[in-house]
Amino acid sequence: MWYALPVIGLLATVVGWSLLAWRVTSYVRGFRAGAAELPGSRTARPGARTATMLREFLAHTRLRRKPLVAVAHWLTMLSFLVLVLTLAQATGQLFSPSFELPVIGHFAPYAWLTEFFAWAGLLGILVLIAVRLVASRASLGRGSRFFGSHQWRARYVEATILLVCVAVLWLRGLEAALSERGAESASAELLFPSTAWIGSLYGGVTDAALDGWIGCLALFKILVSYAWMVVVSLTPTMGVAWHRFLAFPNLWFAKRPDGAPALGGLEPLVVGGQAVDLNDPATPDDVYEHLGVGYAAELTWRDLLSLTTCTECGRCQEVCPAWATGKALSPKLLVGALRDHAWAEWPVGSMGDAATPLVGGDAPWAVSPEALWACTTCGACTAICPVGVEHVDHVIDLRRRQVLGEAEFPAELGGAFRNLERRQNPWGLPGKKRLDWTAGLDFDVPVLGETVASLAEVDYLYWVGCAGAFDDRGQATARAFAELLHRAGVSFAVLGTAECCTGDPARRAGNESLFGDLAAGNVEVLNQAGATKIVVTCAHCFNSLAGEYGPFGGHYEVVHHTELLADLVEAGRLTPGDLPDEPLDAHGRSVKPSVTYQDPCYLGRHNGKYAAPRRVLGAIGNLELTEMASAGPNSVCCGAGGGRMWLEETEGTRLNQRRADQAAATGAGTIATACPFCAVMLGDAVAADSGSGTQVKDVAQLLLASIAGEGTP
Amino acid sequence: MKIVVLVKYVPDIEIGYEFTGQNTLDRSGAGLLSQLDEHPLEEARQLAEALDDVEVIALTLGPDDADEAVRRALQMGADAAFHVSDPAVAGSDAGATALVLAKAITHIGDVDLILTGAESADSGTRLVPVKLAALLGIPALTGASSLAVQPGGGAVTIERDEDAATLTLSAPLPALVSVTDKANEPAYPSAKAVMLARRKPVDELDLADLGVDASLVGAGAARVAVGSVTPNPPRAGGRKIPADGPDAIGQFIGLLREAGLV
Repeated sequence: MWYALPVIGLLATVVGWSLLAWRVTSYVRGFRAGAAELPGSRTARPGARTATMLREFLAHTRLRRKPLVAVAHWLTMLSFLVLVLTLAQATGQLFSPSFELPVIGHFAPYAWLTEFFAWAGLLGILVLIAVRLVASRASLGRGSRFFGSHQWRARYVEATILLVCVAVLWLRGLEAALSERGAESASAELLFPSTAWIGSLYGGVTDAALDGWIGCLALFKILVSYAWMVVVSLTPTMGVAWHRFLAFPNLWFAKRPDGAPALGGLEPLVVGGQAVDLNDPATPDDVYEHLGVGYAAELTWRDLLSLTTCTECGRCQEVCPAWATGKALSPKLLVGALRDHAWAEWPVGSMGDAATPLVGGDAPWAVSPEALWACTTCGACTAICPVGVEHVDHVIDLRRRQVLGEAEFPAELGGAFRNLERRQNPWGLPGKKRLDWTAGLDFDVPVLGETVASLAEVDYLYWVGCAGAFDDRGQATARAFAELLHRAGVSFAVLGTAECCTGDPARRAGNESLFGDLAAGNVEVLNQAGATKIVVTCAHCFNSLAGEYGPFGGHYEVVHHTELLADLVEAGRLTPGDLPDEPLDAHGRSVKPSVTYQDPCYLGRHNGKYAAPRRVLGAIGNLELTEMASAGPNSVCCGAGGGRMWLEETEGTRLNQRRADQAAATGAGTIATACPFCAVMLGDAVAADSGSGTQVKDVAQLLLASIAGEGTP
Repeated sequence: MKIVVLVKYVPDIEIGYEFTGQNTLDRSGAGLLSQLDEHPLEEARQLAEALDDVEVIALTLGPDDADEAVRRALQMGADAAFHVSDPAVAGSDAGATALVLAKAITHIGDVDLILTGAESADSGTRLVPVKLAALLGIPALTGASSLAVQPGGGAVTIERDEDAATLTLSAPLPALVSVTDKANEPAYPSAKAVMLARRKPVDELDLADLGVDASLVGAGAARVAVGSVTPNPPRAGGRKIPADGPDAIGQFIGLLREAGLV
């Protein structure tokens, strides 16, 4: 009857590896069937890509917010690699219980490594199982990062790893017992340092029974492993299992070769691997049928790879401000829906007329328009994804199709688009009012073409932005900043009525056509003016001017006003003083002005600028900076990005209120920020809570107040 | 079925406007398709989608800059456009405008339905649609908040919301219907529609092409003269109470009390 062991084992081996090979082939075919990427966009700088891949593999940098999970995952991950040879070992043991791998079978370091990682893997997976159980307990509901994940798939993978680790250790114990009875008993201590004690439990069994134990356990181990292979091969959407292979290429083909998150400037609209110019009459007609991503067949090969790699770990869901405030959007569920959709219509593009639209269709995997338009493109999901899923780009691709192809989008956005078309600003105010913000300053703001003939005469072009021109808070910031430049003796000029919206709100809302018009117009004005150094007070303007105007011929040195101010303070050209103290506390003691700082998403996560605003705030003598629980790279969106500034927020609670509450939890009397959109959103939130007394100020306003000593302007 | 939609290129009056020395609106600044004309365009687009063999033609009377309005109309679904432009037309009153448009409609020929906005965004007389219908000798249904064309295209039925009641009115085709902003929510054109619009034919016409005697139009022929234009003084700025100032609510309520509102 022992002949049954190798027969069953070999049968499982053949089935397991055949199915795996079939699935890998089908994956490669499936990915290759995806639409083309912009040439070189996913392969440039192979050295940096390899370094990024190895760094994320070995250093797990994106798991840093959960250190216990990071360590447990790291051990489990490596144990999979180290223990893969134990599958061969077990296969040999089906034939002969005393089988040993050639060459390394008796090599002590290999034995130690195996034992270490078997225990480490066991410990790691127990921790991960416990973490999942705790983090997915029913009482958390939507608050669980695993809400909506395929939990049984994950539990199956966890159980497999657990059983394999147990089987490896147990088998080694039996091997130790076996070697005790042979000629080489002296080496048992050396080769089985941590498993010999298991073998000692089998002192009383007969030789034949010990052989039987080894054969059966080896078969068990093999069946567990190959059952896993069969299950995952038949389930292409099981990223929780497949990420152990797919994460490597997915990280290698990342948008940013150096491993920075796929944020900042967006890629141009690409169809068939070519950037599309919607204003060029020579653009072929069929391109217009495939703008953005509307069907699974229009997902690029990297999209398909990336979607398939998703492990459903839910880190993105956990940090998504839309999800946290009860919106329909979860980045994880959006990615999962796209993935399931793509594989349901496998091979991608073969479904022809039977294919269903990715957004708003009847398919069970369709993304709801509510979810799609709830995204603020804050990038928290993309920045935290350990396997390099690029959620924001997926959202933008889908929006591009909805706007450019289907003309389907929330009605309020139509108003913003029309305002941008007609009056070149999303507020829809007349361009001739663009200099109204300068009223009240006791010096003349230099305007290019009026008081300044050429930008060569000045240090900086100050790009005021539409908020600086038209919004009350933005105007106050613009005045404070201009005043600071004036005091520091920095020469500057503004474009005045020649300035237009950079196009950021249009682009984030998917309106690439409108963005292109505005960007091209601005580049023409800027280049004609000979702009080289531009300073901006808006994080969104910064992102567009610095990161999105290259393809339009606009290459400038763009600095954010907080960077310039920090440099001016450190160079001694601005000398901050104290801010007025806050009202006395209950004991009649003076209270230093306490400030917390809101990192704008498009300054922080999208462009990696966290230090400059803090350098400015830190230079203000008596200011006490108290960071929010989630600050810096973990900062939480105010709710205005991604065109959401112009949309109603009707579902769930309000993002700006949530962030204002988090700011209030620091006890700070002032929320400082460095973006007019944050200022509007948080300003509205604190105004709605009239008892709070909290004020929202731009960093420039606080700096000026400390210098002027006149109280907060 | 042939539908003509009248569209007008107007100054962006929502953001303010100025007058020339000749008591006419200063049209030198950037203009746009009158927002009120987007509603008849959208209505035509929906009819074309719902019915077979519908041809939608945009017709405008205006300076060369009115190309902008024509382009937008084509993006919003018109299949072709006629642009009547002639220096002699400048300063025309509603009567002369209707006369030129009537000739243009006759020039286009076989028109079943004329759609217009409720009024023009700039002068807002509401006279042109009815005058035009009178000149063409066809019925005019004004102020439609909804519109339906009978299957087969024999007649048009509209609803008109009035203060006291909603009327359902119908008339045999050919007819003219002016459409209010309640009728629909104009769709934003897709990139494809914008692209296709670039290829649609635009016929440029002048008075000679239409056989209109230039002496019948323009400022000289206007039967209504504008005596003077006195822009209203800008609204005095209201009182502003900063929300983050001391006792903002108290001040606000105090003001309401002063005004006897509470």
